[in-house]
Amino acid sequence: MALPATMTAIEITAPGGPEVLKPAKRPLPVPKPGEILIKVMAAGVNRPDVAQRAGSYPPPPGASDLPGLEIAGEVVAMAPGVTGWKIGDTACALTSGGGYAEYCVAPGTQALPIPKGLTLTEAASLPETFFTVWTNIFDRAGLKAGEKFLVHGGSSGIGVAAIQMAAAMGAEVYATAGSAEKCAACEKLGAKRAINYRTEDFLEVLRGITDKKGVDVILDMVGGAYIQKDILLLAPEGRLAFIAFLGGSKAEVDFVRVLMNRLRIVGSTLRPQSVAAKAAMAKGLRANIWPLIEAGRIKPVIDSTFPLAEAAKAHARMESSAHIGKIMLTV
Amino acid sequence: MPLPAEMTVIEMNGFGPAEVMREAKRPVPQPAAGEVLIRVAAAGINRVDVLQRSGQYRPPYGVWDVPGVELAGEIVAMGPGTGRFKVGDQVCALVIGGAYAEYCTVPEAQVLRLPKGYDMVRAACLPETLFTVWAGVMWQGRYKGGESLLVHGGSSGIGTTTIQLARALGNGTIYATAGNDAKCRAVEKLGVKRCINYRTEDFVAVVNELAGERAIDVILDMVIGPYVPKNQSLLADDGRLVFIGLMSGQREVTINGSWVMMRRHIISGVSLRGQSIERKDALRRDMEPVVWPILDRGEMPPVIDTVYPLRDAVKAHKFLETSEHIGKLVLTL
Repeated sequence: MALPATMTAIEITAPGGPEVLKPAKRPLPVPKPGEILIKVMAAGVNRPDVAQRAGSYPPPPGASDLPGLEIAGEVVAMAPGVTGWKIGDTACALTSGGGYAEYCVAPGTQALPIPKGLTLTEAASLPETFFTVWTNIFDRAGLKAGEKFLVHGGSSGIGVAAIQMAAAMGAEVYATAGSAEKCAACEKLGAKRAINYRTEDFLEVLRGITDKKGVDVILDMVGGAYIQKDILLLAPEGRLAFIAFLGGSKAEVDFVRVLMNRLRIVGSTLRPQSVAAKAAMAKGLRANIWPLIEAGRIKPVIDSTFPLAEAAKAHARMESSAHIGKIMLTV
Repeated sequence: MPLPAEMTVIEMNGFGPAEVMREAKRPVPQPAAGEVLIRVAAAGINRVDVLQRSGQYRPPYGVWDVPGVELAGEIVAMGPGTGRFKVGDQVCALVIGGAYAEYCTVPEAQVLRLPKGYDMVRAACLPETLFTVWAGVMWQGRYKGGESLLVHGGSSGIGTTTIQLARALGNGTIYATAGNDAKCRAVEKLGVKRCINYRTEDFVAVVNELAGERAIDVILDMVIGPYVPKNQSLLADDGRLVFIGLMSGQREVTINGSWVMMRRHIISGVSLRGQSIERKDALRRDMEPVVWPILDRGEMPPVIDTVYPLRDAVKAHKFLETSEHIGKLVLTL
């Protein structure tokens, strides 16, 4: 099958609101050594896309200027140095940008097979969040079976993945969310108790539930005033992982707690990490999480799906924070 | 040899200045299950002893009114469930308290043989510092030989041991800070590229100039307070900042979470005493095979400042509180 010379993609025409996202014609990207070219069937929408569109999160050097960090589709071309894939395979992949397009490249090591039983749209919803959750809570924060785990923003794309992955791996899961409906969704996904942060104080509630022992791992995408409460809630040897700061990134922290309880504060963003680091995450996911997805113990939660040309609507939906689960684009 | 019924200890008569410590008689303790009884030959003095004496720190369990968290001596009795050592063995040990005494019980998990060529005084300086450094630098800091390192309080017992361990593990560039020029020169002799006098120089500027911006892999800090943002600014991507003390006394400090996230910093704290016997056992099992051969080769000689007889514990604490010392203070019996 001959590939076309150009494709439709969604451009960020200028930093600004959702309306700056506009369809445009672009040349097809060319895979570099180790990369595969994927004909995109679906792409996930993520917070970093919104930040990039608003101008506050420029793509790293060498990355596409087009938004879109995760895709699923068909492998249509390969550069030398790719192993494990052949033309015609379907795959989902973590990209360094350019996912809002008909074609997109990704390192072969960042692609994973479509888990059995999932649609391509569901599979496209996995990479960004699952790589992020895996590397932060299982790798950096070292969450183990039997430990207590709290995720803030439990109904977000990251949140629903974290709840399901942690529960399926044997942790006791708690979450915070912003409405009774969202809390109910978190509990349905496997949280033992979800706390409505608008009406309850998570520190107080969880101190009570855990008999003052606290929790072992917290995944925080809120920051701000939550940080000190996180520190106070952590059990000895507890770990706090930051993946975003929707509420601010600087906070006063009680260092006596950090010292006496031997706490560890970690965090990471996915995009600037090396191809080798991402390949290691893909390996961990394939070995530990993909079987749980295929067994039906972890299910992608799709909030809504928009055609690629309506990417602006998808961004508006994300910025409304009304969504539960992932927002998707289909091509 | 039958054991006496009574022993001499240094007890704390309430909390306060060094003078609250005094000699007293106590019954010789009996080893419980998993414990051995050691006739103490030497006990190391640590800052935690001073904190405990002044009422700022209460041990989580065990003896609290007889200070002393490390010792060397001879095993004179074994409790049920022990057997790694035998009566008559010369050992050093980490204890939860009570080392300023003629006899002390200790979980066998926290007992180590004397390294080759070590006498009791030198061996008594090892446990608290080595367990702490291992928990902080290796466990929390994940230090790998060859990485760059900044050690605050470079002339303290923790500081000198950290520097020596890093030297023994690889060829990484080491920087340190200390409080006067004499200490700085002494620390540099341990193999530190540059020890910065924090009273007269800006350590951030010096390290940035010598190492380049954001080039330090691991920082060991016992000050906290104003050092936190400064340390964070020096850390490389994937750098680790380990807190091992709170010399500034400033409890609430602002951290820059976005640096933690964007530069993948790991910020952690370490305290030894509150850890369970199981974790101390795990620390010992992890540390002994790496560190004891280094000690056997004489490569990490403890830096000893002054040795005092047990009855001069007051004098020794007063000297520790001047912060004039370079290396360890030790009591002998």
